[in-house]
Amino acid sequence: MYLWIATRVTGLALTFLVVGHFALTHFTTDVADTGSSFVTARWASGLWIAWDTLLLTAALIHAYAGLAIVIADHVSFPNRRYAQYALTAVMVAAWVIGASTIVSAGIL
Amino acid sequence: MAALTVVVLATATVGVVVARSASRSSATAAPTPRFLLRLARDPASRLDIPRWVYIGHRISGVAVAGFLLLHLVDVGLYAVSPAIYDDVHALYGSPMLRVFEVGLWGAIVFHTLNGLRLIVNDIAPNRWLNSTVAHAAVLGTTMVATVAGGAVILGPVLR
Repeated sequence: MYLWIATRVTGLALTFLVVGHFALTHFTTDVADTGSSFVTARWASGLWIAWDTLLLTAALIHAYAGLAIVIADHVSFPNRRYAQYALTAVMVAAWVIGASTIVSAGIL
Repeated sequence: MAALTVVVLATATVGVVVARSASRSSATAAPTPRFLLRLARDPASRLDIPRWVYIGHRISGVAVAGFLLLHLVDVGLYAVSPAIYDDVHALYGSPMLRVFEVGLWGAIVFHTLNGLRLIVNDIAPNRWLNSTVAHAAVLGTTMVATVAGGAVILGPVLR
């Protein structure tokens, strides 16, 4: 139930966060011009740090909930439990990697 | 002649056994009464667009999640060293990865539009949103947005 609601709430937020992010890095800026200087300039602004933190968190919650359903539907006992553990571990690790990137490169 | 009859009969028997076990054990199109009824349906309903959209939503979700994990690693390199990040990032501008980015854009648009359709339908259940036409509209809008976005992404390479 919580995951069901989380999927929809994050999904709605990601409509703006992901599409905005993709439009910025592929449409308004050519992808070849989004090198380290682009990242440096963008993370000089607290707004973009907040955007990317929200994007990271919402996307990983959404991915976790979606992949949990995929595992429940397609992976059978006894592998299901290991798949669920692996999913949780990968998603937590991904959040730690993303958040520490933003903190160390953007904030500090 | 007798030998040929034996071979033909044996082949037919094996054929029947294989066909029967295949129709029991798999979901492929065995000529069962149900399958023949399905063939008799009109082509549009046989295509079953809502079912393909359902499958596509799942596959595009897994694909985008997979790219997200990859993307976290390559952006993570920026925190390690901006120079290493730039080396890897140069790949994103290559023609091959630009084609991949068009596919990523298509997957994002499709998953977003179909997801919004599902959310609106959850909040305010609506017959039209569950119709084949609504599913086809999601696919159509996705195609238009993918072609338009693809032209922008591939522009620098095509020019």
